[in-house]
Amino acid sequence: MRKKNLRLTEIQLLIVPALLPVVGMLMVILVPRQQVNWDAKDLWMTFVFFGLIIAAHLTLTFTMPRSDQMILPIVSALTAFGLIMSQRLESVRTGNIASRQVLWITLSYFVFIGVVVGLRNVMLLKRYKYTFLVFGLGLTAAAAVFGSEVNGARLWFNLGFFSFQPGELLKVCLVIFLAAYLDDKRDLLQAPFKILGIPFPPLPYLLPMVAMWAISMGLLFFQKDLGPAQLFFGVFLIMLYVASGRVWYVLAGLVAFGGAAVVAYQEFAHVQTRIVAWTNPWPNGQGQAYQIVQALFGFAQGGVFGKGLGYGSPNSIPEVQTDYVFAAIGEEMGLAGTLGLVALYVLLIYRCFHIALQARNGFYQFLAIGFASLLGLQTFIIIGGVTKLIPLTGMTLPFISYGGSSLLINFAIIGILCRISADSEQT
Amino acid sequence: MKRALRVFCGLVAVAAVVFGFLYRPQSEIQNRQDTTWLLSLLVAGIALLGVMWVGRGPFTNKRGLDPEDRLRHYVQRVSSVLIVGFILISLQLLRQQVVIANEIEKPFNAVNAQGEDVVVQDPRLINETLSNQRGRIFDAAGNEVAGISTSKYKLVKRTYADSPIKQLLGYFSPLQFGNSGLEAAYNDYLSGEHGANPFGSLQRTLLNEPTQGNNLYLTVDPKLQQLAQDTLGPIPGSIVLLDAKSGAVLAMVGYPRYDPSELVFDPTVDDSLWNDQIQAIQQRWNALNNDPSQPLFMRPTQGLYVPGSIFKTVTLSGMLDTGKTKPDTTWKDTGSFVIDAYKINDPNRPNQNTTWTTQQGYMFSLNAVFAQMGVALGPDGLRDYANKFGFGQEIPFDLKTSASQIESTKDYLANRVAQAETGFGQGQLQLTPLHAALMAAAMGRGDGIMPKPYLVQSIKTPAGQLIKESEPSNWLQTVRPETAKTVRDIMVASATDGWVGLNGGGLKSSGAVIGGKTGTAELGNNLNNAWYIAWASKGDKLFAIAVVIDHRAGGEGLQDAMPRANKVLTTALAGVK
Repeated sequence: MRKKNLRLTEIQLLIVPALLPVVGMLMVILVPRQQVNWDAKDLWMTFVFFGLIIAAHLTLTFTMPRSDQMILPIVSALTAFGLIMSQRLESVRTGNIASRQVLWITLSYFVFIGVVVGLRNVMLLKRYKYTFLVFGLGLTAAAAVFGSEVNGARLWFNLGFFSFQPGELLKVCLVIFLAAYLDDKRDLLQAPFKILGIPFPPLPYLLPMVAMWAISMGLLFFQKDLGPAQLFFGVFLIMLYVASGRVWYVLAGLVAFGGAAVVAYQEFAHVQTRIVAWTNPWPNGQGQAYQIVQALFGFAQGGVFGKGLGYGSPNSIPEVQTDYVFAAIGEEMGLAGTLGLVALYVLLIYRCFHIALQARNGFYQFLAIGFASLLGLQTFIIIGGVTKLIPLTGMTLPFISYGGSSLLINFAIIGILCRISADSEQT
Repeated sequence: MKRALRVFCGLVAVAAVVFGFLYRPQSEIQNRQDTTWLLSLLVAGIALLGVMWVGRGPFTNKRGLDPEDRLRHYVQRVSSVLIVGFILISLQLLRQQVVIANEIEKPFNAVNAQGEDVVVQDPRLINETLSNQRGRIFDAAGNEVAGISTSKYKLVKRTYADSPIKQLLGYFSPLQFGNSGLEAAYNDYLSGEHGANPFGSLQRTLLNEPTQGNNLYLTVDPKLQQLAQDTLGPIPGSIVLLDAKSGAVLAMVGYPRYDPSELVFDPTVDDSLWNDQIQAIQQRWNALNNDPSQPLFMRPTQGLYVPGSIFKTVTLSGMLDTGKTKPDTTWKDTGSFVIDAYKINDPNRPNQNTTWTTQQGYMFSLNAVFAQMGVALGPDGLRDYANKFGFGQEIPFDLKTSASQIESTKDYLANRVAQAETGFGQGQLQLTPLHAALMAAAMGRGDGIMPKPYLVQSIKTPAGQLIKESEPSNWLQTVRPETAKTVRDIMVASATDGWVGLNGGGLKSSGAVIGGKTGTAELGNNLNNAWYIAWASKGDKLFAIAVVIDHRAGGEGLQDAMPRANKVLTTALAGVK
């Protein structure tokens, strides 16, 4: 093998995510025991993780040595945080989430490797764009009808050993469809549409715009939550903007979405609760806003350097392992930890956009931009929510929150992005 | 031009953030809302977009020439929106975790949906409080009076030895009722907030070890305290025994009292029992508060009692100090004294003599003589000497004290009857037992100096390093030393040949010099306060004692207070060579 085909940068960068869980898991396991004796058994999860990143690295080396070398280390670091936090937040209430998270991480890396090895031609995705759209929507609709109900929203398929959230899959399907659609209709951009002299969005744009709006509203209606609707619509607007370059489409879309949001606020008590918890949580700190107030306590306790892994009480926040995992990190790792994580996410998104700019063709570009904005927006919405910057909407923190569906899908996205970067012309 | 606009946008962004950090309207602080902050973040965000967007774009006037460049431009814009979002998140984190973290950690009083008052508070702080390794409290013999026990979850319970001293500690209930007594007065030291060496506490913070409290060492002698408690028995009253030279409290008991261990919360038991326990403590608290005998009231330092004849010590001191009388000055006493048509009876004469010296008046506690002295001293003299003896001031002490008083209505003493009544200890006089003991101490010393009393001898770190040591100090110079010496002699005469001495108050077998004065304050309905104050000097030791038996039916200083004091003094003196 020639030297230039070795992914040396990636190897060097992987040292940190490989060592992170060694330290983290040991701390998390040993602090409650109050002793420093440990044996190899305590590190089995770390070893599994270690094996997975090596396997992923080798797969990339052998199948596409020229693909981006920063994505895997960044994602692995985030996943390592997820692993540590799942062990940290394991309690009687949550059950054995750490070993389950290891299972999910393992499956996710397999999905990543599977996508990298199996998806030789990303253009295939474009060919089956309508299939994806129908599949994603159908699955979500099926979940809405046949799925099991959690917190008043039918979003889950209960498959016995785990619950699958088709909404996560829908995200990817929609991005693939939009990328393909916008790439196809790109030429129409050159001809501005005018009705009675007023510039108007050309029909090919108007149509998916209305469709996306409808889908988002449908989600809003079924889920009684702004979160996924916000995410889908945001990603759609970004892709539309990148394809058309017209800010005022985005503004129009925002106005339309805002109107729907106002209606949702008036109609759904659930949404009102979220807004109250954002604008005025303290008087409701024992009631509606209990969760966010507990999270704020967690952040405040953390201070600059945090209480130290294992030394805080993040379990006083309900559902801390999924939506509020960031608050737990804030408590135990402090501002240093949270800003570090934010920096990692920014780096990841920057890298995704970088891939987009280097991509070989329009579809690849739109796809990468779609995925990048999907990850970026989701991260922003959930972190902004738990820090009380914006109203909280239930969503997972990519790669860190406990949970199978989101992790699997995110690794599939990363796999596709690696494929795109491998297929790019430069570097 | 564009450059200037970008600089302007940047300045606006910085200004908005700084404004958001610094300015917070009062109403938002009260409700803990962040409207202003969020609005300034919004402004900052828009301005930051301005910085990133204005003037960027290589083809602003040539839209659509190069698709590659155009896409790059759009992606730049999209990513700049996301970057601005993450900058805002970082600022929000900085604020929540550092800038207003202290404010967030404070308890917030809210009203819940049912209209009940609730406190929104961080449960982690409760844990912190419950895991504080609170300092221990030791008596003068080095026995632990209050300690701690730690559960396997590192939660700490305040424990109490079966010691008579625990009535002085106050209750420890940081999460329910707060602390009282020594636990409150020395909370900073006991919790470890104060007094630890800064490196040690930094190290503990870094290692996440709970704060170590510092230990208190009291001046109270456990044997004398036990004796005083047994001697007092279950009778409302107080006994205070001082080292008159230093002001150290050797014994201090009161009744009714409460047991602080009944109010202490035990976090070392299983969580499931916590609620029941809290309920039980709350019930006990309510019972104590509703008890008409007021067991939570710290009688020795805060109980105010009409002093009766022991106040004659102050009247006598004033008369001698002003030179208005000499010990051998004679006074007329025919068994009663009439002033302004008000008749004061004097049942205390040992015989039917009608002339008595000042000294005899004190020895036999002649009301008629002291009524005349009260009038002779006048309102200003009475007030002046009461003030010199510390009336009207809270005694500086480790526990909360009440101020003794000479009159409760203004200008009460302007009336001559009032002067007469006050002269022999009735009137509107109110006195605390600790204060009475200090009066005896000041006279017994012979220099008229009232020492500053103290209960805590020293504070040490858990490792035994001394943080603070109490040095004996003076509180007040009551009368001139010569006067004090004369009063001392008269008190000795009282305890040898006066009523006190005739009833066994001299404690001849103890080998000590003793001066004492009884008092019986009439409260009506045949209820009396029985008082006795005394000092006893032997070797280089000088003890001062005050005993009060409160609202005793037919109570007499000679019968109810003095024998109790004698018991305690005898034992105290037996320990002196």
